Amino acid sequence: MRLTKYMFNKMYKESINPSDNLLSKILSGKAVSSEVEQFALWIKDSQNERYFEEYKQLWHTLNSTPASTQRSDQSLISFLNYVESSKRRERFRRRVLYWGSSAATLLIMAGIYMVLWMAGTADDYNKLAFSELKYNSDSIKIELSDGSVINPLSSKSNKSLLSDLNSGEDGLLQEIREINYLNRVKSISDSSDTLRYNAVTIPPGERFVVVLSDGTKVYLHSGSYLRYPICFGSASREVTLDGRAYFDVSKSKVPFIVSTEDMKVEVLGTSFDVEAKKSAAKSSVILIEGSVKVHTHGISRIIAPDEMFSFNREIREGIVKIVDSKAMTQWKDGILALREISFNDMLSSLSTWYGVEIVNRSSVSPNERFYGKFDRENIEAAVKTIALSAKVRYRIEKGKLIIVDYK
Amino acid sequence: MQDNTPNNFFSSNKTLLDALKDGKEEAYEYIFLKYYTNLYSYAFRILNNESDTKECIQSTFCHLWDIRKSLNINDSLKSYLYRSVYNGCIDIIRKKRVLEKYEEKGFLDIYMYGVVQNPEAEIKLQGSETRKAVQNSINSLPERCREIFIRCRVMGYSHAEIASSLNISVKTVENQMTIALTKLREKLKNFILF
Repeated sequence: MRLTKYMFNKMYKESINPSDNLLSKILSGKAVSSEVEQFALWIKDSQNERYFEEYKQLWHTLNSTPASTQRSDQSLISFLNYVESSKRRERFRRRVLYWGSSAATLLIMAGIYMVLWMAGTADDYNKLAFSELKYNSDSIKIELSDGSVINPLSSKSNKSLLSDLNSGEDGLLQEIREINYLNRVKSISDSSDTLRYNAVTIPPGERFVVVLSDGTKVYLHSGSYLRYPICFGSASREVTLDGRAYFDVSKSKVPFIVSTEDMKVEVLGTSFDVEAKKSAAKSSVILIEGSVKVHTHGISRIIAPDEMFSFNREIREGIVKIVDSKAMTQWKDGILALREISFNDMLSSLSTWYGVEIVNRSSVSPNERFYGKFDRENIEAAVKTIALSAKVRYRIEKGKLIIVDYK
Repeated sequence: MQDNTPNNFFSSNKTLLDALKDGKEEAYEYIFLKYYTNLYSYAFRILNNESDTKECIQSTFCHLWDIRKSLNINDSLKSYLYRSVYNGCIDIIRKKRVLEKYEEKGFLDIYMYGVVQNPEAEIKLQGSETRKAVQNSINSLPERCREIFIRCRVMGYSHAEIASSLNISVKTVENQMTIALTKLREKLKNFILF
């Protein structure tokens, strides 16, 4: 049977995209509740998400309804009228103040002036300049084996130091947010001296990738610390973590071990996510593929893909849950997905994620649960989403984001 | 349409900003004429309602006038205006509880990150090659064919609805869509849409 390209495309399209009708309704705000739900389910798929992005561009390109000349002329006239009357009001206020000779009149008029003036400037909260937020100013630090500390993102001198350190022909600082030790394998492993260590500290608001000497890629979450040998020895591959990291471990017969304050995670080659902050109440391991063994407080557990092992330090209990591992580890690609999380926990996650200080003065119930996906680049959309869903307002004070009740 | 006004005086952004701060009415008239149409189109695609859109754009310009003395624009005036319009739109949506159907199921983030066109994306789209390519290819379709394509893919009508509103058979609609898609696919190879 001959399947033409057209037929194939059509079938393919229809299978990934049930109907542009729905997307069009979503974009024009005409979708009803059940359609929104259908859409939310559909767009979870990354291929669908890409399709929607493209469809959105098409829709916005072809759907523009520019104002008619008549409308724009009318609006200009009414705007200029507004300008005129506002000027008149100002002149009036000035004159009144000028002529108010007795102190009493002056006081009363000044009172009126203040009221008018305040009426004009109130309700500015939504026009906030997010640029006034003070972002965390700590930088990423790499501690070298000789005890010196460098910042991989800062000056050129440091960069040259880094490439000395990496000493590869390929210049190892590939991306500015990545450091690569892959080439160390050949250069060092011959001289089998004791292991030399580096350590990297990621402050709030930053992310970083380390490629270890065996090719294992480690994505480090904001507020994390990783200590690792510049080059692994032949007997073991072991790193130390405080905080959260996603590991893409290269396959090898030598086991790869992540040690944290109270866990050891052992694998041969796979992808997984470890969250183990010393100060937190819980630590967890999420497995994406392969299998890993977790040792903690005398318990050993093998977990399977899409399972999350979490250990509660307070009650000293470990449980295994089935989770959507891809969604929960999207942070490595710049998207923080939060699920079933309380308002305060959400704010503290976002504070770390964006590197800003957030003060909660609202009275959102601790029993309310929040879901959300937050793009690394767009704190403004994040804050607007939160304000809308938790029914709070926000303002920026001395560089901090303040959350208050909506009244 | 960019600079056919005789006011070359305003061609430098700095002078324009100073004039706005000083409350020079010509400057306000100039930016109003320059940006109104596109800002209106942008806001309309978010609000989908004429009177809200008019209101939103109007209050953006009035607000700009009101705060002129303390006006502090870090990036370009254009992005400032688009951002203000966007904020205004979100505010209107909030007041009208348009987003309740997203909110009740916890899908607000999908709306804020995915659905609503943010000002940066809008400005980017305006000058983008993609936009030009799409516009050119669609304009190159025969008129009837283009109309059917837009009704179907952009406005989201079904084939049957289009057939009855244009008084043609469903078969004709299907044929025209095939023609449209074949042509667009040729021209816009990098798109998964076609």
